[in-house]
Amino acid sequence: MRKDALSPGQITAIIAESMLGVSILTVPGTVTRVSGPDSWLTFIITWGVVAGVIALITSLSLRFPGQTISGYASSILGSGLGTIVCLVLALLETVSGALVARVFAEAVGAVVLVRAPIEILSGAMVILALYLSFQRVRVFGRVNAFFFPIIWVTFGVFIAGVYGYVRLANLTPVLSRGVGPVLRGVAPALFAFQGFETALYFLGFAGKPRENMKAALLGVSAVGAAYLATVAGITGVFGPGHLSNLQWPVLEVIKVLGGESALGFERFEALFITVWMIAAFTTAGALVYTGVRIFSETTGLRHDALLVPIVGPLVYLIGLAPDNVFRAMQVASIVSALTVCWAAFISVVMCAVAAIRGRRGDAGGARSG
Amino acid sequence: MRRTKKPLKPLEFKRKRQMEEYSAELLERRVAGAQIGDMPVSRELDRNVALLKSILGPSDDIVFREISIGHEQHIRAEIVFIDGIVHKDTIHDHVMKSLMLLTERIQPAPVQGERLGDLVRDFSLTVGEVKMSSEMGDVIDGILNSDTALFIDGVPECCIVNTKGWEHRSVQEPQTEATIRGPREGFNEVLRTSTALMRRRIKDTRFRVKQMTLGARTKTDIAVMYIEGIANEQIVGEVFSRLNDIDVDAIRGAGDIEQLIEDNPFSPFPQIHVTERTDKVQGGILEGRIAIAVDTTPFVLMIPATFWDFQQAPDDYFERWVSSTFVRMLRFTAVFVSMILPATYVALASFHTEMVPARLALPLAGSRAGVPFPVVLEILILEISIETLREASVRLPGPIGPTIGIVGAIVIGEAAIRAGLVGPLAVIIVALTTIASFVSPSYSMGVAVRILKFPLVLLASGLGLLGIMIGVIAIATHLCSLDSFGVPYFAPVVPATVSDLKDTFVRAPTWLMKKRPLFLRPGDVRRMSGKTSAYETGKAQRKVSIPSKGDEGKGDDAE
Repeated sequence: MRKDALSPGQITAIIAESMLGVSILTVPGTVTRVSGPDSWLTFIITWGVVAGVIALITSLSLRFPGQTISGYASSILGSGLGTIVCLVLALLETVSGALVARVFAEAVGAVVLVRAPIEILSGAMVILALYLSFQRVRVFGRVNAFFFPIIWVTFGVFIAGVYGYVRLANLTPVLSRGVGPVLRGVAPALFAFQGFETALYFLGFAGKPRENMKAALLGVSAVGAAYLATVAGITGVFGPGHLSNLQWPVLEVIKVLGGESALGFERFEALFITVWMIAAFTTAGALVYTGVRIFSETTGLRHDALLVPIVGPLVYLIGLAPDNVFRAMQVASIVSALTVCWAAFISVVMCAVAAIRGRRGDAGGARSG
Repeated sequence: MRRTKKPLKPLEFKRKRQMEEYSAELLERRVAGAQIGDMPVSRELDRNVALLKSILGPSDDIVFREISIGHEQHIRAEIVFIDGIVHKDTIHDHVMKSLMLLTERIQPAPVQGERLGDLVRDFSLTVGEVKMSSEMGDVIDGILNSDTALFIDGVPECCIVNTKGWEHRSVQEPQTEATIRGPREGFNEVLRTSTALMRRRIKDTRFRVKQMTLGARTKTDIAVMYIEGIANEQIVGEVFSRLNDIDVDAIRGAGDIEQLIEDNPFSPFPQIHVTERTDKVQGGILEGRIAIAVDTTPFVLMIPATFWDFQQAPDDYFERWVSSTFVRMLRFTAVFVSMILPATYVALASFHTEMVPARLALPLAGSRAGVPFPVVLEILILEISIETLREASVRLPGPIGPTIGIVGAIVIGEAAIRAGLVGPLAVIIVALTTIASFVSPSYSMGVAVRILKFPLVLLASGLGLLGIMIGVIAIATHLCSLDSFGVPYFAPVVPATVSDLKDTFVRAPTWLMKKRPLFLRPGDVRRMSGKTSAYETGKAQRKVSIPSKGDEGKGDDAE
């Protein structure tokens, strides 16, 4: 086993936590605006699409064991095109990480620290993401594996509470508006699944590459199931009409729960968002980590020499660029759609070209991160 | 009557003159920076003595004693030792007496040189450990290390006789770690006693004790102890490699070595176990860890160590597993509470008062009424005061320490509340934090947690609960980044090893822990056979009737 190897469990945790973060707070609302009461069907379709793409990414990693995208993109597409592919992905990942930090800071500002400047809240998230980016790959894997149960227990408590208030009438009739709105909702729903493309980098460190497919699909499936449960649950509580008007539907539903239970605490949503910071941290951290590492491996520049002087301020400033919360969410949605599409596109192309040209990596390819 | 100095005999005069010339030569060499300790042992006794005197210098505790040995005392010899660190009875009875009175068989003519030295070693010195050396460096090391050097005229070697012996503390109950159901024996400052205590507990032919000397000036003996075949070979190799790299003037105790060989010296968290409990080291060695005992200190290092190990006490294994599990969970809760409770109070009182349940909000507000300081300052003042009291109570002699601690805490706390400087709720919070910080069985881990609560308080004062979460995430990330001799510091939780979780948050029944901790990558994984407890073999379920007198053969139906 290589020095910086990731276990299948850690790969599952990384892929799941790269996706499950800030988007869950907003996506039920944005998708329902397009898909109406059938938004949960939209999520099933998106889940299937993403599972297909992750299967392609995994097959690439199996074809080039021990290599990340920056290694096999050049082998498949040639040095020039491979470099461009990697640099675009690195840029999109880093920008996405910055926007995740910003959107979460907005959520915190809306619920917990109303008077705190967004620059401070966003900066705190960026500092944490950068601190994580300094760590070796195995440490990154450990951090994700450590937080994995905490995130899922929090989510489990939340979803268990939500289902006590669901009214089935809000979810029926199914497909009353036809298939069109359901399919149109796939584009905004992709925002929720952004993060799966980090597999392009992390699968290169798999200690047991044969289990990559299982680990990656498990990660995507877990998040898909979580989104499905959340969207169906929140739609069932609020109904599609009311849900479409909510900016932070998850936090709103927690307010409903907090009114009656919540361990004696008032403002339970504040407690939830505080704990959910872990999920936002792992998502933003994974995106920035992947972006910086791919950039570093592609250009040959040291990642630790790059981080503080260049990427740190850049990520912070990109995150603060949108004027307000609406603009920030709009930009985040566009960038995440671009990232997902780019990752899907290059995965399909690289798989096809590798198959046609019969390109394969060295089975004993080892690396350290 | 005027006394005249007796003139020297020509031979003596010649010898004295030669020695003066030799001493002058040695002085020149020393001035020139030459390593005179590397010189070989000479055949001439006087040259050896002069050389030793030149190297060891004029110290009053170094004893040079010239004796005559052999048939009719025809052979000159010199014994050298340092008074106070040798066992004088051994020197008198087994070195001097043996040599001066019982060396009749050494005849003048036929026995000379190395043979003479061998003869003395084999037939005259009635001491267990004697070694011959022709290097003056070895001789000096031996003398400084409480051995006695024996030079014999005409022999180009020196007998180094083990005469170690000095005043020391007896084996007593550990001073820094309380024992409830474990053995009362703790290590002491004598290395050999420490290794012997382990030998007495581990009677395994593969138990290894490898001794080394560290510190150019202190020449501190250390002993590396492990069981070959159980301890991972790579970890053992890494331990020796790091110890061999140590090139310092002085090793004053186990702490010096700990700081020189640990993986991350900038972390507040201890990465090596330090203990004076023999049962703890015994358990560690049997699990596949490596222990380092250091002369002059009762503290033994244990390698590798993980975060969870520091919340485990040897007594956990002597108690029933249910109570041990309960206590262990209590410890983890206490560690968490001692780290975040003051910060949480600051966050709730400063930023999130709307989160506090209404029934609690009024007492909270009431307790703060009239307090002139902001919450963060109130907590910091109390925390620093309590830390000062704690340090003072440790430094004060004997029974005064705890008394001052209790009196100080009660009197000052009460007075501060009455004066309106701090609120009673803040005092309760700080007192609970202090009590919780004492729950950790490891002093080093307790200190780390105590230190970390301060940055968390500051973060909470800036960003409320979010600040605490930022701190907790940063601490968790840091903990995940640590390794102890190649073993992840958060193992076996991360990376997860399911079978090792039986001895982490919970303490499973002894008979369920059939494997040694796998995260230590032991050479021999199993530590007990398949069915070993009465419960597993079914004997516990079998009805055993012990008939009373007169009821033999009647069983339960006797009545």
